Amino acid sequence: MKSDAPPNVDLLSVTGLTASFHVKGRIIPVLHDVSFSLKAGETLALVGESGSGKSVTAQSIMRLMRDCSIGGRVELNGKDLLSLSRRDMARVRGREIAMIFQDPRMSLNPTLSIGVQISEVLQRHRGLSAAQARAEALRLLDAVRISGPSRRYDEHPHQLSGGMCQRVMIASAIAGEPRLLIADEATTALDVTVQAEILTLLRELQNETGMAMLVVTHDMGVVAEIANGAAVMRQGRIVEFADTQTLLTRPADPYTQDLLASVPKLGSMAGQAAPRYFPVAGKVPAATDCVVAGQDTILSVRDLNVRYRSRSSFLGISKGSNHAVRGVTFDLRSGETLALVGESGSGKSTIGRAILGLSPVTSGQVILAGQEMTSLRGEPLRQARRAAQMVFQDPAASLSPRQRIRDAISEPLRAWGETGDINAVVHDLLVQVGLEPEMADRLPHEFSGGQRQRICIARAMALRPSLIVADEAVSALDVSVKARICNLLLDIQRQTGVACLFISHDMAVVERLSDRVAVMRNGAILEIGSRRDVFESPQHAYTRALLAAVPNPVPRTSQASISRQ
Amino acid sequence: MLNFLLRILRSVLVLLGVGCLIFALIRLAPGDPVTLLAGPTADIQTVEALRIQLGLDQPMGVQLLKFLSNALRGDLGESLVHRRPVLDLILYALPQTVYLSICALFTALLVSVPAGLVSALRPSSAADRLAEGVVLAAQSVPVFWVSILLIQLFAVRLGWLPSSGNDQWAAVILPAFALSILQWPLLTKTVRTAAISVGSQDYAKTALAKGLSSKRIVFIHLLRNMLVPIVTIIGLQTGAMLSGSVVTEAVFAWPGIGTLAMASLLARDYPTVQGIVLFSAAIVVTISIVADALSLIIDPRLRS
Repeated sequence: MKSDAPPNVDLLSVTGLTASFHVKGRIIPVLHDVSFSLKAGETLALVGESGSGKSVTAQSIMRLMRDCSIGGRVELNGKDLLSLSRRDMARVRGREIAMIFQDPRMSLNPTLSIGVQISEVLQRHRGLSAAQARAEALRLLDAVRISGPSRRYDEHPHQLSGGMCQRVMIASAIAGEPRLLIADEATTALDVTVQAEILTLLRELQNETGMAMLVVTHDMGVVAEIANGAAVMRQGRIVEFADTQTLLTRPADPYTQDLLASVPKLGSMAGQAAPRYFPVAGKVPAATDCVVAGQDTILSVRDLNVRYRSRSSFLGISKGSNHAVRGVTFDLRSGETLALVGESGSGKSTIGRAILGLSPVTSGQVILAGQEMTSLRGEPLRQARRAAQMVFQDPAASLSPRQRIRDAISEPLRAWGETGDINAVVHDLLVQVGLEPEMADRLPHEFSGGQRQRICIARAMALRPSLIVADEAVSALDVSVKARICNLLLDIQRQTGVACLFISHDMAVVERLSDRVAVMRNGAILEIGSRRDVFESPQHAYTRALLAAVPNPVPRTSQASISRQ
Repeated sequence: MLNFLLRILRSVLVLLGVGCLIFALIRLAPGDPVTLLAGPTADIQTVEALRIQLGLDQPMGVQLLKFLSNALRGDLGESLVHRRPVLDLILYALPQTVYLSICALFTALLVSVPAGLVSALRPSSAADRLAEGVVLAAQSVPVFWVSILLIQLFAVRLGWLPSSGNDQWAAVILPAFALSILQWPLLTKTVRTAAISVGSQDYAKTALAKGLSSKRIVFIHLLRNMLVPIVTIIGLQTGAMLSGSVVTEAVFAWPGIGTLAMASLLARDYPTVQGIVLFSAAIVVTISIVADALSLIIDPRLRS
């Protein structure tokens, strides 16, 4: 523990911080008069949606951005960081303030061993010799709960899981014994159970070292889990600054209220049978606002197995195989939503692709709208695929940047030789997904992320399919946008009776949207049943662990009292 | 390791294919080596006797099998013109070309690495414009013409450098420079792309956030990651370097493999041409294997 500053003096104080990007000779302001402060040993969260300036604020404190001018004052223990020379600033980074980032795999250098990436900080900032640094790095690896540190020391990042990489990042961050640790969306890219482990680790390390933390996140659940206080950001400004308890229970700013209202809360659907709309902009949906599933079976999957063989490039020698999907069986009725939930690598996306014939099926049957899919090849397969359409995670990547959205939406129609007034169909589809028909001649980059996902949904609906496979379709969207896109999917289901296979890792969204849930792990379905059964009385230990790991936007103190009751 | 052995086996197959191709191609070209060798005054009997003596009367299939099986044992036959083993001719000329190519490669790196870095770090600065202009000019101008201008200026007008041959150490400067020009555009672009992509990676930001010294960030964290594409491109460009040396060696009268190839082609010296092509192919294949092995050393991700 090192706290030479008295506890009631601010460790970090940010006053009137501004930042502007220089883009092609133009100056674009992104932060306006941001002020907040943080005491030693405390945790402050910067919360906001994408583009709110929360990451820019964190990186401005560290002066990590290029082509960006920063104004205002950033004081660490009374020292103004913005006026330091580059050389002096390099002595602050890693020593007094350390930072960890969103994607742990990308944040570690792929060509250096993880041990080197920790000990270089020790050599630089604590003046240790190479041998001392190695010993200390091993201790740090142990401190971040990596088993067998001496075995791991010489391994490279690609040999470690994402969660382990983030542990290594944390080890290299605390190596310089910083007073402040900035975590920029540090758990966003991790599976929910791993996220819970990392949050626990950060809390424990904070208790051991007394460092302060600045946590940048979009997730109100993470705020509740870890922060003492939070600053809500929007469009480069702080709109509300309060302690966590107050913020989560009595938010003062209308934007914060909206944001909190759109966050899906696990357990909020207790006692409900059918999927329900998200409350958007203060409107609470009526109990009757729900989608009722039909009776016709649209999709039957029987004992599906997908096995990938990894071949060496020469002579096709098999080097083993990866059993991605193991004996999966389920049915899906019209108007029904079945959620496939699981962590990364559980095989849920592979099932979605196998249904459309996009992944090779090793054995088993897929019967889609009465057609057995796995035996079809070539033109008959193409014909059969018409019944199912897909919506992907990243709407920007799934639209061609050079194709006007009229052409993008009508492409399936033209590919199937539909005659008649295609423009009228595009018009109706745009209205259906809540976009202006006049937007048809724009290009994808002229739309926001949420609008682009609406376009992808319109394109998927163009052929009036009987099944939509939504593969993490709302995962990359901001909370407020996510709620609206979920409502749109429910709307469309109500109007058209389309069945939906909803592939997601987000338990809270799944709880809202699905009629039935299948929990997957290592390619197999562990548990399948009605949403109420799975969420309210989970049978499998893994399901319970998955549910328990979801951070809920409820203050920790009251969480504790709930669990005591 | 198994992969590597397979790779070498496959390379031998590639070389056998190249052998068949060059064997056929050179015989499809008009002109008869025996007539050329015997001279315009020789009568038919002399020519036919010579043909039998050289083994060129045998069926094509037999000649091909003989050539390939001998080549596998390292025997490339005897030159029709010089009456010496082809291998000796090649081993005499090759070091000259290798020396020239290495000098050219270093010259190219001297030009391309700074030019690529400047355009990556200071886009649309004066230095970037200059680098871009020089590279564009290099791409557009025929090498033999630049070579002649270089001789005109540095050898004839200024008298600083020798214009041809290899009897002085300074003689390598002009041909190496001329040969390197071919490599500038691609190499500069590769360095630029590598620098931009590595600089925008998250681990570059991490290195900065750790407060490491600039020297360590550049040389330990960034450079190594930049090397993989650069090594790959250099490996791929060896072939271009070898074919480029034919022109350059001719202009500067450099006694390398290019000059030997030129002379042998004009004389329809079948065994020598076959030997040179086979040897050049072997060099290209070897260097690409070496480049891949280097990539494996540089980037641990490629090892799994």
